[in-house]
Amino acid sequence: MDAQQPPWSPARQRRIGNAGAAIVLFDLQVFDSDEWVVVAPVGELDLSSIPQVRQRIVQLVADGEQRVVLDLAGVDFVDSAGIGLVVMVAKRLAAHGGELRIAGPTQGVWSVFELVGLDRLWPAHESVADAIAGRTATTMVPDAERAPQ
Amino acid sequence: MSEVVLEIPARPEYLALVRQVVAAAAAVEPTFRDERIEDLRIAVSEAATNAIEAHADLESEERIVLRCNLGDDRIEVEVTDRGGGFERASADSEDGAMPDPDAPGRLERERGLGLPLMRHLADEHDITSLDGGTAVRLVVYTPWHGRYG
Repeated sequence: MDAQQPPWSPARQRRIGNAGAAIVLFDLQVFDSDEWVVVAPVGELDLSSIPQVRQRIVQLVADGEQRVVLDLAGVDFVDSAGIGLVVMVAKRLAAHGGELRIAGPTQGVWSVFELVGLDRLWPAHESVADAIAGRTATTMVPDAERAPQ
Repeated sequence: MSEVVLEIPARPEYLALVRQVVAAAAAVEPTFRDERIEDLRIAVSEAATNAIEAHADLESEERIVLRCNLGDDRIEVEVTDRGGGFERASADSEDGAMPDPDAPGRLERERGLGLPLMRHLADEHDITSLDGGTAVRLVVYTPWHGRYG
């Protein structure tokens, strides 16, 4: 396992979530990596889950964190509420002299960012390691071709 | 048409159920491509999110009704709320157009993307003011659309 990856498996979480039962799993992992703090939601980013993410990031910024990677590898759905969260985070960090980088979105999730034009403001990074290193993905990896995590 | 009706409390934790029901109703038609089902899931999630927020603004305890009708060449989904009239619905965006991501102050907009996304993702959409509520109708065509008649 990549040392940059947290010790949980978004792929496994998605399989559980898609098993057919009306069970909605959402989890939020936060961990340090180099000089960055990685915020990794797992599940669906919508009106029901974003308050938890927003509250955590607001607290991180209040605690002085300035460099945040939003790891979307475990997110399998985003709508305008989730997009609004990303805009809020970016604004808040910028107001404190910080920076937001987005890592690992699936093609489906990234297509929503592209629809609203936010891909032109924040390029996607294929992984947390790439985001921290500043390596930008030239093309997104099709969801079906992703390596199991 | 075969109709599926879902009635939910106006609370964000039911959004995932709405998306699951819509996707399952659309999947009854085997020619629907996954991408179009995802378009519909996002568009309906936007409509339901608006409805839930409108109910919250009015502190309304009434329920939100989702109707899915699968026809020969389309799926129609109607989201009906009791959270205010058309002024509320249209206030989401001035004209429902996708905002220009390069426009000055673009990052000031954390909200207001729901209606443009609905317009973009659905093949047809309309918003009707009811007595004390709003009905949003979204249509996505199957590949059979326009081949006959």
